[in-house]
Amino acid sequence: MYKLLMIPLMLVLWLAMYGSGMEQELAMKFYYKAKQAVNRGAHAAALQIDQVSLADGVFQLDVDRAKTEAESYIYRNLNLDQSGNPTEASFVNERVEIVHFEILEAELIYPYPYELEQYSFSTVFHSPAVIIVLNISYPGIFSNGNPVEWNIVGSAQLVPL
Amino acid sequence: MKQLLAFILLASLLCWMMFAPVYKHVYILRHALLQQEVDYLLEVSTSGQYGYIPIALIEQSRNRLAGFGLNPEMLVYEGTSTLGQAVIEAPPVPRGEGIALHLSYPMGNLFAIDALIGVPAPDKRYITAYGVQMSEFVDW
Repeated sequence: MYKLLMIPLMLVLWLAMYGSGMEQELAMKFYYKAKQAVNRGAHAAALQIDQVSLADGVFQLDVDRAKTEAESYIYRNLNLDQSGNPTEASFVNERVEIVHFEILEAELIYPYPYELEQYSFSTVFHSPAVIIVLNISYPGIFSNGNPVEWNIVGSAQLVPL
Repeated sequence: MKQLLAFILLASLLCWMMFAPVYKHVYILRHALLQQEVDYLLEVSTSGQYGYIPIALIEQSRNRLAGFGLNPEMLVYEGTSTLGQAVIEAPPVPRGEGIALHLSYPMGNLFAIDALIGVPAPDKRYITAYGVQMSEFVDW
């Protein structure tokens, strides 16, 4: 009889192991998807050249349009609605938040060493750039009430035509 | 009789235990593969060189996925621009507009094994990957 008891006990152990393995796979997939969304948002923002200063020969980003486009591309890639709320199609079930949005002006001296200490991000930009940090959390299937949370940094710089 | 019943229950549970996680893994992996193809196709097609998704790239993508054991005929590539026009072998999407790509593949019987212990399969019949990226194409 005790031998039979071993089987259910082992089943529980195996299931827990498979579960945590699967959870990790899903979390990584989730992370990459979010990272792609941030990258595409930054990319779209970096394409928004300020037409007025371009007329004066200055390559600069249009802050308002860059922000709108960045938000719209991040939300679209995550299948969220216009204002960043989850829809039925989205794999996120919480609001995502852009915690940092920064545009480097054309007046800076390039190459410009940039550092964002808070999110341990540093790089060198060669032209006006966009830096976005997105806060997103993966709820998990088996880890109830204990979500994995990331601050995902993405950046893109303006590439003149 | 009781022993026989216990044996049947345990055997089916054991079968499910051994194979169900493998099927789940296949599902996760297939989704990741589709997502990878979408990311790659978007990266190339939104570049200044194309502005659309060339049919040759889609053929290559089908072949790559066939190498992972997917049936290339069942892959469905659906591309649209944010303006609503077609993007697969179509006039280039201008800079500032986005190219969106949906890639779907039938789920097949990946969740059939769950029926063995009475867990219903999800409603979704397709594994889908999606992405949208802004085009860099400029008409000189």
